[in-house]
Parts: sequence; structure tokens; C-alpha cells
Amino acid sequence: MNKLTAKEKAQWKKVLKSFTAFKDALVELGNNWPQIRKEVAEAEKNKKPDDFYAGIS
Amino acid sequence: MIKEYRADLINGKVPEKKPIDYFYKKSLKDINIKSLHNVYDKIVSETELNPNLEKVFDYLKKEQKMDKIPLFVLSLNTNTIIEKFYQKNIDFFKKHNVEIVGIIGNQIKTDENNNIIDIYEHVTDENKKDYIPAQSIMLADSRETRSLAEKNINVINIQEEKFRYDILNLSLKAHELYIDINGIEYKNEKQQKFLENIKFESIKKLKDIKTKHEDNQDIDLLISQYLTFYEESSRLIIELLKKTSL
Repeated sequence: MNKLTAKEKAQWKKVLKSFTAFKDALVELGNNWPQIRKEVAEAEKNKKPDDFYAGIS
Repeated sequence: MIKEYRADLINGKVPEKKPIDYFYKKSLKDINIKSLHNVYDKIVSETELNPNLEKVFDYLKKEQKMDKIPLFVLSLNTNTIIEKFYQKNIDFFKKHNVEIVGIIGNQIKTDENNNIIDIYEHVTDENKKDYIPAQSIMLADSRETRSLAEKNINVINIQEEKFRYDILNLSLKAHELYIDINGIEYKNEKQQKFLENIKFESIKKLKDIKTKHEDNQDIDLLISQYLTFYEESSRLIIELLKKTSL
């Protein structure tokens, strides 16, 4: 078995930390999703013709 | 033209004609290049900054502790109009410490009398993704968000109510994860594949979430799938840190 060096250990710990942060952000987004959908649907419903973007991006 | 274009959007259709064709190939055709500056000035004077842009910059500064924000502008417009728009809003960009690190736009084509005849389309909707620097986060509008997300670009729709801090946060977390994965000095092919898989699954999840957001659909299943994947993968990393199991 290849033992990890201190530097490699630190790199893997960093990945675990950012992997967990991504998962947490995903869960948080999931919790807020019903409200997001509701607000977006409401805004879409109330859109006037001029609100439809027709520019060059 | 705008009326026709908007009518298609209102009816949920994909507009047949592109605004760039109307504006640069039809409206400006045969106008002398010298007059173009007046046209641009008029457009720029009537164009406001997207207020969500300020929300993004504030978030990056406060939550991500970014002192300086590098901004790369990629547009189907010409560099000239982008520069004019930047100059008009220079105080705003300075206030937020935003530094333009590059502009890629299209180029006007003129005849021997300097009359506009066409536009060189270096950047198109189809090839836009090829110009986006690796690991960057793309701020886009509703017109292009879906297609960029489908091409695995870390894109955020900042148009009106579509902009969400939660999604910006998720994009930034994905960005950090990719950087940390790329920084690993893996010991063998198994570790390499394992890391590539984490990256692949996260990119895919990000893409699916953004597509669902464009369609305003549910994401519960997407999240539960990822949680299972996370539990298994994080367990392997913890084991590796304890006893080198990978």
C-alpha cells in the first residue's frame, strides 16, 4: 500500500471539503427550490411583451 | 424586427431570425462606418446595466472575499460597442473593482467606400462555448443559458427573476471543487478515475439543475441521486485518508 504523504493528505482533505460544500449547496438549493419555482412562475405569468429580451448578447 | 422576435418568444417559439442578422446585416447595411459611432452612442445612451450584475459582484466580494473581479466579455456584438458601454459604466466597474481582462466580439466588414456590408461572425451562438476560458463562470441571459449549460459550461442565468443566489453559490462551489480536484497528485489510475468520476458527476448535476431551472421543473430526484453518490464517494475518501484504500 502506498501511504499518502502529508502534502497528498492535505490535497485529498481539500477535495473532501469542497465536495461536501458542493453537496451542502445542492441540498440548500433543493430546500429553496419550491419557493424559487413559485416566484419564477409568477414572474413569467406577469411578463409584459416588452419584458421579453430581444437584444444581441 | 423586435416585435416579430418578441412575438415568437411570447408564443414559446424559437425565433427564426437572429437579432444579429437584422441589426448588423440589414439595418446597418450601406451605412458609412463613420456613422456607426453615432448609432452605437445612441444605443449605449439608452441601454442600462443589468441590476443583477451588481448583485453578482457584491456577492463575490462579500461572500467569496474576492477583492478583484476579472471579467472576460464574450459577445456577438462588436468590441467597439462593448468598449463604449464599458466606458459609460466605468464608475460602476471601478466601484466593484472589476477588471476587464479581455473582450471577444465580432467585426464589421466594409466595402472600399467604408460602407458596411456585413459582419465577420467570429463568435456565434454555436461556437461561443469554445471561447469561454476553462473553469470560468459564465453570466448569461435566458436566450443562451440552456444551450451553454447543455455544453457543460458553468453558466448562470442573470436575466431578471431567473437570477438566484442559491444557483450562483452552487456554481461557485462547483468551481472550487474542480480546482481542488485538478490540484491532486494522484498515485494510480484508480485514484485518477475516482476523481474524474466525482468531477463528471458534479458537472452533470450542475448541468441538469440549470436545465431544470430554465424549464422551471422539480429537482428532488436529481438531488437524492447525488446524495447517494456523495455518501459512497466521501466514505472512500475518508478511508483513503485513514488507511490508503484507493
